[in-house]
Amino acid sequence: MIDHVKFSPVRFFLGAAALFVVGFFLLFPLGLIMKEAFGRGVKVWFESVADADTLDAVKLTLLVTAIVVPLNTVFGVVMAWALAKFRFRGRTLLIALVDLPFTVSPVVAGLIFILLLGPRNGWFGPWLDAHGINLVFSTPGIVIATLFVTFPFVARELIPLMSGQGSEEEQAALTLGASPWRMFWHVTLPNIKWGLLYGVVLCTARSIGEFGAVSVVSGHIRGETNTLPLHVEILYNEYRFTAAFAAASLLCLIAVVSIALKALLERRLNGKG
Amino acid sequence: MKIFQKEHSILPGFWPTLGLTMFYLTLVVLLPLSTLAVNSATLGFQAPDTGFWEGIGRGISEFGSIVTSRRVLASLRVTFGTALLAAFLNLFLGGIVAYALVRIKLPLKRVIDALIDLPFAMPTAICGIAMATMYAPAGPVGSLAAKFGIKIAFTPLGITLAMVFIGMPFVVRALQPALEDLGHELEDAAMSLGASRFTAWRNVVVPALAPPLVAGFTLAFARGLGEYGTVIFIAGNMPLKTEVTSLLIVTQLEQFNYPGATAIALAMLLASLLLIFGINCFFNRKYRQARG
Repeated sequence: MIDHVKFSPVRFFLGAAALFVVGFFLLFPLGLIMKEAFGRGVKVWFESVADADTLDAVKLTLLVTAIVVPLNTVFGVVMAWALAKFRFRGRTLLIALVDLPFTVSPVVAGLIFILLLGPRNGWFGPWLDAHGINLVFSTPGIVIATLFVTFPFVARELIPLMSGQGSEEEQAALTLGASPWRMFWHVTLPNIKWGLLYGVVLCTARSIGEFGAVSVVSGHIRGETNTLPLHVEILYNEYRFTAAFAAASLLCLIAVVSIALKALLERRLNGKG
Repeated sequence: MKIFQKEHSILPGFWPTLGLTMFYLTLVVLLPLSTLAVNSATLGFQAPDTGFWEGIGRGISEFGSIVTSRRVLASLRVTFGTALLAAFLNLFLGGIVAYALVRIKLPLKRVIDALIDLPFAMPTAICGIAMATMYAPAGPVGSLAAKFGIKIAFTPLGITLAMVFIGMPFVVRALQPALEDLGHELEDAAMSLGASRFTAWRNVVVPALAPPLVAGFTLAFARGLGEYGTVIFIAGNMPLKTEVTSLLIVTQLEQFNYPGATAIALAMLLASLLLIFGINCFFNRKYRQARG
């Protein structure tokens, strides 16, 4: 037998190398942001975060997330139901199309909505303009672009999970006389809850943090169309580094919380299911 | 032959959920994306009373002249070069991390494992300013590199390192489950037949890991190609030298050059879709031959 627990210099070297890679490439940038944000004390950090423009950016970010996440969650479940529980012609193509936003550069994701809704050259621009509706360079544009970017998250988590679970339990519920709604609430939803939550966490994290697409459609109007990541960019480019890193540290905290949640949910998914 | 003809099932809700899927998919994804194709196809019809074939011909030549202009070609070279290099580096670095997480007893393994997803969870702009601070000439890593005469920030090297950061989780997450499934048996069998550990790895383990390696590589590469937030703060954004394609699109938009931005975006999207498709096809064929 080959002893795998025995100490070997190669394994020791590889372990050390892995720790170095994670420490240097992942942990170091995170630590650097925290150091820049809190380096001058908690009081300075707090003042920077409590700045009116920063608070406006936080509010807008939360608003966008509050619209985008429920929409993509509900439609994510609907799409997963159609694509995971039934076998039909064109299914593979539809699944590939659902994943499409992941292969599109964020910048292009912003661009397409300007081409569609922009007031000057957009397809629907002149019509919207004539009716006094302005979608891009305002909050609705940010919401729509974020919808696009976070479109696949929930469905993508649920489709393999629900395909794998099959539909015996649902069929049993129906045979026993449950209505379709009852079957969904009492059989399907409990089975997919951890996977669903996992998708929602990823979707939320991305909605809060989306930068490229939102940057293109926002028009950068401070206090009005500035989400938190855009606000960080503006502060940084104005050399207001303390304020920029303070706002950035907020987003880092959210990121750390979301990866902790993700890790917890993954254990649930792999363990008890 | 009917599209959407389905196998029999007693489950309810096929048509309503399929209908809603088509509706939402079309509204949020397909209709907006089709603007790229349609707006590019109508490039040649700017002048009134353009004949159909004349317009098509003019459009193709205009599209061609936009995407083969010196600045666009230079940006494509920078973007594809750095993304390719970063994906290869990630194959190596991510490979080590995935191996260590699966096979070696590490302290705080669960924390490290969770940390791998950090680049997914952090907003790209935040990653970007972290990279710029880290590798800037006065930054902690940049100043160290400067002592050895290496310039990182505002060079393609800086862009590559930013792409390494953003691409690493793809490779690690693709490899981890495959390494776990593989177990020790194959390696043990090879070694008990007299192979050294190195030979066992080269001839047995690495070929078995080829599919996830390719998947991770492709995802990391594709992410690098389209990346914007992480790259722009460190790139320096010098036209012809360190300007990535996604930034060039934004620049064109800011100058209200919509046809230019659209053509470049379509070219980039097609190039990356073709590449991903090509890598997968080429690899699937090779893999099937090797197995069959």
